[in-house]
Amino acid sequence: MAVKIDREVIDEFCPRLFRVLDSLGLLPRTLLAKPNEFEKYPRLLFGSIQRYNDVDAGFKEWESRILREAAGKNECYPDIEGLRQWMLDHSEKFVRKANLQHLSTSLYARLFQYLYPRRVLANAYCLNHRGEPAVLGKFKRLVSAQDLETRQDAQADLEALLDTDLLQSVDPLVSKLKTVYANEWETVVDDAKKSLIAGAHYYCKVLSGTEKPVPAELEAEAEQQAEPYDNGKGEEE
Amino acid sequence: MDSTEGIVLDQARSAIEELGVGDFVSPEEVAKSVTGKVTYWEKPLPSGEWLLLIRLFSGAIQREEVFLGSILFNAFLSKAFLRVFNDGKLGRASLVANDVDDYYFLVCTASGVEDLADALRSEVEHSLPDLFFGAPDEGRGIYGDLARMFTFRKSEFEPFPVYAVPEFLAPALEKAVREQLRILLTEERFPGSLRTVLAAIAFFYGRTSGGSGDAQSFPKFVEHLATDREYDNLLKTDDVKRAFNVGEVAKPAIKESIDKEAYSTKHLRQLLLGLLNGFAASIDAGSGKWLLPFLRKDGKFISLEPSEYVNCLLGEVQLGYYVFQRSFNRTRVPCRLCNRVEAVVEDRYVTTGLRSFRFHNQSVRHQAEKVCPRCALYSYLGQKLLGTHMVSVAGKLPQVPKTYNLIFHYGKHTDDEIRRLADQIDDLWGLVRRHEDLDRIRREARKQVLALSERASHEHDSAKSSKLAEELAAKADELKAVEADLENTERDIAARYPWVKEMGGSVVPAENHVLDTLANLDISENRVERHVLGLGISGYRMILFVLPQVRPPRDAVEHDFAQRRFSSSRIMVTALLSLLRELCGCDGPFYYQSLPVLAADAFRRDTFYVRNEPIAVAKVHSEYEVVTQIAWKLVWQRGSDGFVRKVVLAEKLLEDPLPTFAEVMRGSLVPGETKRSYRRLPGAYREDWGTYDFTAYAAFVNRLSRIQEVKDSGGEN
Repeated sequence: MAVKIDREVIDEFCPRLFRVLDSLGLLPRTLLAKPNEFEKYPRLLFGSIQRYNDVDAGFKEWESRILREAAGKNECYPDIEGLRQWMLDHSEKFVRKANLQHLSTSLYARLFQYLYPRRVLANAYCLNHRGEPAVLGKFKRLVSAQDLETRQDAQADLEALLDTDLLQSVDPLVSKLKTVYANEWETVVDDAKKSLIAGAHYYCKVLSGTEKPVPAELEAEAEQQAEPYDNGKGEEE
Repeated sequence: MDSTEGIVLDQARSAIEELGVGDFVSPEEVAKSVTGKVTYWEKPLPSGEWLLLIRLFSGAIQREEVFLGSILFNAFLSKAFLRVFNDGKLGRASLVANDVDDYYFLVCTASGVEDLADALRSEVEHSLPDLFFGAPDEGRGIYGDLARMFTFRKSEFEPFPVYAVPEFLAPALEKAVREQLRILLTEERFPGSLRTVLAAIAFFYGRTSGGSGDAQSFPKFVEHLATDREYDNLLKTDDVKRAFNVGEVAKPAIKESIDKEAYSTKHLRQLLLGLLNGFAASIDAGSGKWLLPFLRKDGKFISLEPSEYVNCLLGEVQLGYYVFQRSFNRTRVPCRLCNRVEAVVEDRYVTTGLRSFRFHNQSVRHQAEKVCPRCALYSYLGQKLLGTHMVSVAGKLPQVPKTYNLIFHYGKHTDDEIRRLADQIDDLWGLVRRHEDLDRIRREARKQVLALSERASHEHDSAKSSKLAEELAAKADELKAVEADLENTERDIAARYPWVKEMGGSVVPAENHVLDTLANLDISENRVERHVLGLGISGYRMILFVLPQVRPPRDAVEHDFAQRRFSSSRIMVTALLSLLRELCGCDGPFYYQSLPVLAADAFRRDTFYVRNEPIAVAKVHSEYEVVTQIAWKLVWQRGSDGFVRKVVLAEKLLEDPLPTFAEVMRGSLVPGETKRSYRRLPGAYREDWGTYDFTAYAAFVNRLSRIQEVKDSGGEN
């Protein structure tokens, strides 16, 4: 018999967790990363909670670990704290073995589902504006900001640009995606903006053409897969 | 009119109208009696007759070996009962409604139920030869054709279920066998059915068995016929030598001639026709010498008198309040299939299938007889409809009855509509098979084109190189033509059956669960395994779909490897039911491994009943089709092996959607893996996105999340 899980809580929890991790730069930029690169930090959290059988203790251990490894920790700390508070409010759900088991096994699908439209939007925007000084300049300004005030100023400037330009410039390119994510499109766009700002270093390289989103050899590997049934095993004579 | 009551009310109205008794009984009263399982009531009519509601009950035996036969026998009984009134002496009758076990009739008669029961008994006895050996006649409840039982090629194991035939029908059997042999001996049929003819002649007319016996060896039989005085010199030595192109009339030489096909087809045919005429002359002259000699001598037939045999068949059948009595020797273990009637028939592969000769209660008592005459008849009727085939069992090749999938349906279909339904199944199956064949040719042509290109690129000799180029061009043209044919076939499927794409997401059979199920059913070219039978008379009637089982993979140890996985999968069964539902175009219920029952609230429209669990058609569309579409897109293996993998994946996706899909993504999406367990969903690299188009995966995750939502909120049946 199937074990009942607290799906509503899990469905609400996952985007919260992924958003925090993305803002800390702890999720892969490419969608072709190995599953364990996607799952590494969420799994660490579930492991800590299981080890202590306590959400607060598990979260704190995990928090110290990710803060050691993350970029932009100061700006993101309120989000991490918000996540901790939310998890404490639902702590009884997170110590249920069935829920943690389900989270672990469905993590890759859920992460992919979350990241896919956000990465596509961000990539499409950068590739569409590749080499454009106006856009590249704003990203560079944010990346090179030395002090907090300049940084906040550059961020506000980039936010304003993305608010007006992001959807307008990529909307015709992502209509297919919009159909699939119709119910949460606004959230996706907001997250994509935040992701572009949080990953300004990386996207700066994409805009300037020094970083290609997908390595060339992977294209060839994937093209080979385009021909179905290339292996004769299991075919009927 | 959504429920059982509505349907039966409709039927009752028609029956009352047909008998003209509307002033004496209301449709509501009749319908209430039927759904309330009333056995009998009577009402006086002004003409001095009585209006009776009679239930004819004959319980179907729910064992795979005999289930189909018991349904066919019940249909035969119901039609035999209606024939009782044909001459008008006993009155008039009309069928109201029926399920598998019960047939309800309205009868206007001056006779009592006992008289009607006697008339039914006589009618059954009178119709037995037709039931066993007659041509198909649905109007009389006679289904199947004896020709379908003449597909065997060996006579080492009993190739024909003679154990199911009562001895008093031996002359009728011999006559029917002779008729079949004459058909097979026609000039056109003989070359293709030579082995069957030889095996049949030896089996039915052979006189001895064992080491030097001839019932199991046609060459030995020929030797005896030509050289043994006891055999009436029915064959001349010179004729045998000429027919088989042999120097001497001896078993080894004749056998070699047959094995190496060194015989003269023309002379052999003449020889066999002459032999058959010899048997016929002797039998028609009243001699029993060639009347199935060994089969009678060995006591293979059921030795019961006609009346005893009919009593055995009708034992426990109820006509209204009248119960046909059966005699039963309580000291013996009853039939292992029905557990009701005395077992008098021995277990044989050709009678009781692959599960014969296992441990049964009868074995403990050293009782060789394990099956009752009634179950043996049921098995025979199933074989007459579907035929038999040779199966490998522990290194032997016995002939066993073909297995089947049974699907019941209630719908308002005329005889013509039922025939059209069968034609549509054939047409769709033909398109699917054509697509499979073309696809196979395409794959082969692609391989050859690649191989030729490879060779051409390494060839330095200009003459050879130009020859290779020519070959390559020809092969490429062939490939193009096959691809065009494939496209046309897909277009034909989409045009004739537009709902197929909606249901399975593709018109390519290997990617569409509905078409793939059809492709994996073990239907042979002559399609004898597929039947659509109308079991009621008219109006809202019970329809029976008989379809073959799913064929096993080539290297499967168990013959029902794929079938078991199919039948235990609700998703796949409902896919097949959805296909039939679309073909018949009505909203009546369908049943798989469930019995339709005429009782209040027993069924609803737009519902599938799978192992007695009602599943709404809407649920099948919203949930099951998502998982099957995913499974059929992701599993790359083809044939029945691939079919089983797809079924297993679909079931896992339904059980635990997101975790299973995560596992699928690991085996399909992750780059750099050399051994992928699943196909990658289509999606080209998009320069403008800087990544591959994985929207298909995202769309499936979205749809699976919705299934998970429904399951968790308790919306699952």
